[in-house]
Amino acid sequence: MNKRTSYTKNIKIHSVTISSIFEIGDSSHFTPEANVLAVQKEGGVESDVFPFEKYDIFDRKYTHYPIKRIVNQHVHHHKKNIHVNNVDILGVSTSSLAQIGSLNHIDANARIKHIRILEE
Amino acid sequence: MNYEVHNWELNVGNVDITGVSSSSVFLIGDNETIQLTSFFDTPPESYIVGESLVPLSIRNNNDETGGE
Repeated sequence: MNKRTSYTKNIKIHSVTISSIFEIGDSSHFTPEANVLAVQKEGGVESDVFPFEKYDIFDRKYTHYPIKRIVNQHVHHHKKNIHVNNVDILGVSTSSLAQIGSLNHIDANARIKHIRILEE
Repeated sequence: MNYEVHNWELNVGNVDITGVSSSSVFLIGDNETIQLTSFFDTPPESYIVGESLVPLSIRNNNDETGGE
């Protein structure tokens, strides 16, 4: 499938953190995984332990579809370019991607659990 | 299923994004397949006020307090 060319005049990204990517160019696969356990504990001490294994959200199964073309798709690019003038991004974080260019297959997975333990 | 796409002009002026986070993608360009899966969990028993000796709900075995 032929791809268009992306033109961007200005792009400003403040921060790219926690295994994230900012890419200019083409790529074929992007398969990020993010397992996040966010704990807010009032009066928490060093010895508090929150192992990932204890919470079943991180091993829960889900149906995963193979990248097999089910749809008979034909794309015709009459104009070969994509134009974006200005892009302003504050943050790209936690296994994420900001890209100028084509990206064929994305298979993203994110698991987030919040725990809040507050005192009376 | 037959699916035919005709792309003509694609011009975007300004894009202003606060955050792209947790396995997300911001793409200026073409793509073929996208598969997104996410699990999010903030059950009531994950919000604990005051260390209760007896866990309020013993529905699932997850011990939320985490203290040893």
